[in-house]
Amino acid sequence: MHGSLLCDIADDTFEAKRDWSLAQEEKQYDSSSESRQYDRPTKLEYQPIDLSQLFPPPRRQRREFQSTFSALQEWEGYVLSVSAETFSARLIDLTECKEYEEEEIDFPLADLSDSDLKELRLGAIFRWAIGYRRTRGGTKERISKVVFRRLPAWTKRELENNRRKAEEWAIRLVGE
Amino acid sequence: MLGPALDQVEISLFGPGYGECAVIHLGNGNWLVIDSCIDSSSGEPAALAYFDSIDVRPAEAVRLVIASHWHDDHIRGLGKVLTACRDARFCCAAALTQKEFLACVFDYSSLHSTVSSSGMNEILQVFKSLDNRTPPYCTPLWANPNRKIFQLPSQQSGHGLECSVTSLSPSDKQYQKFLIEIAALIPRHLETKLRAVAQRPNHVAVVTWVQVGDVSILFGSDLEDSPDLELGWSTIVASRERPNGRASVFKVPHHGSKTGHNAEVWQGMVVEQVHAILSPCVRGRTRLPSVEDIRRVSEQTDRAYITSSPSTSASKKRRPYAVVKTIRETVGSVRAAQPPMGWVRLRNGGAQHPDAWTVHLSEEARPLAELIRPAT
Repeated sequence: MHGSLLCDIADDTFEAKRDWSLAQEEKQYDSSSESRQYDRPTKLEYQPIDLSQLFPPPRRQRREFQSTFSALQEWEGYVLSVSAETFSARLIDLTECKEYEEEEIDFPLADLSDSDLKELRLGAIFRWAIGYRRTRGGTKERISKVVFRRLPAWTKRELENNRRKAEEWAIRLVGE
Repeated sequence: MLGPALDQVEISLFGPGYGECAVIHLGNGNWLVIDSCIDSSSGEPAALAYFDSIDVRPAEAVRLVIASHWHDDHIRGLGKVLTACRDARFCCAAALTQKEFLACVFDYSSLHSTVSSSGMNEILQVFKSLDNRTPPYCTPLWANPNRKIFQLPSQQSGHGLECSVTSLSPSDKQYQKFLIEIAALIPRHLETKLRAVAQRPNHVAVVTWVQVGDVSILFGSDLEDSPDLELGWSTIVASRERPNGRASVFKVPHHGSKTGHNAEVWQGMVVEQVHAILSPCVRGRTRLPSVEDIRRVSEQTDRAYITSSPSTSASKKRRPYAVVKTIRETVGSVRAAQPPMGWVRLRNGGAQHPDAWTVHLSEEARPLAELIRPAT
């Protein structure tokens, strides 16, 4: 926590304690003689506050074991069509660093997560990876996972820039 | 491989893998390229690979490059082709140079993804290539109905015949319809980026008529027919300004599909028993030409040839056993996206026999009728 905040809290607590103490003292001295008022303890005589009592010691965070995934094969693809049970897609082989779609698949919709199903539409882009996942304790399992890429959305600035570029190019292409 | 003689007209159609491409020799070393496709085995544009095989230098030999439309099954690698053909003019539909379409090009070119953006990236490469040229090569020629976009005088043709290339489409209404459809592609603010989805039917396909003396060749691009007489093939057939004559070679539109078929084109614009050439299109579950399409085209002419069979096989890539097993368990199989690329080549008999065509088929190409009737 920030030092000044600690001090603020300490000061507030100190003052609260002092006020309470003073209130208690006033009760005690309430029926006392006037001379006792001059014996009231000053601020400097109060016990310092132990801040460690205000803030419990940090609990030691136990580091969770992160499972690792190593891909044997990876594709990027886009959706060609969607039917009742499957979607067709074209694939680019990323493992072989290809630039064009050379393969196609029909993927079962049942294998998609609920969030990926929401992203499913014509032209949607996804990654498909096959590989091994190593979990805590050394377990190894072969998995296939499809993830629809939540690509950045088109921003207003981007769209405006593109419109401006389009107008410039439309003029350039007629040679002006 | 030997190239054509100086007085021979040649038409070579390549496809698919990925797309289709036509390369035409007009005469005397003057070439024309319509569209582009990538040879999936080499990764290079088929037109450039072909020119290399017959020792033709595209920088000097190609006079005109036409992009019949913007779908990526017709212009893959066109940017590279245009850069190599530095002395060629570029022709496309005017709609592709309008700011509405260009805005879409820039929007979809910024996907930051390995997946290509449905021809948008390629169109951008084409325009960037044009931008690096000097006038007049930097300005595209706009394809309009019945516009002569290229002419080769008889003295320069090698066979003594005048050559011309005329665009027959798109019409004004097709142009307007295209711009309206492009509006549906315009992305909205905060919409998740995705790949552009090509609109169908295709309204801005450039149909090309090539005339060499009395010999005509009709390239149907991907133009689909329409019940509206101002759209599709009907408007071309009905036009009184289009070039006269009937084509002796016909590049069948839209991969032989029924949507690209117009009976009046077969009856009025091409000769009987025309040499018909086409390439297949395989996309998801769609296979063109279908069996019905093959029968229909085969009924029109006995001389129909296709560059490759419209069927794909399982992917032949070698992968670790664990990957193969997982593929089998999840999707069953991964198939090749396209059939292997083939080509059909037609050469005429030169100045002596301009109407006599010799057909040469690559290993994958075959007569169209053989697809439904086994070869004897």
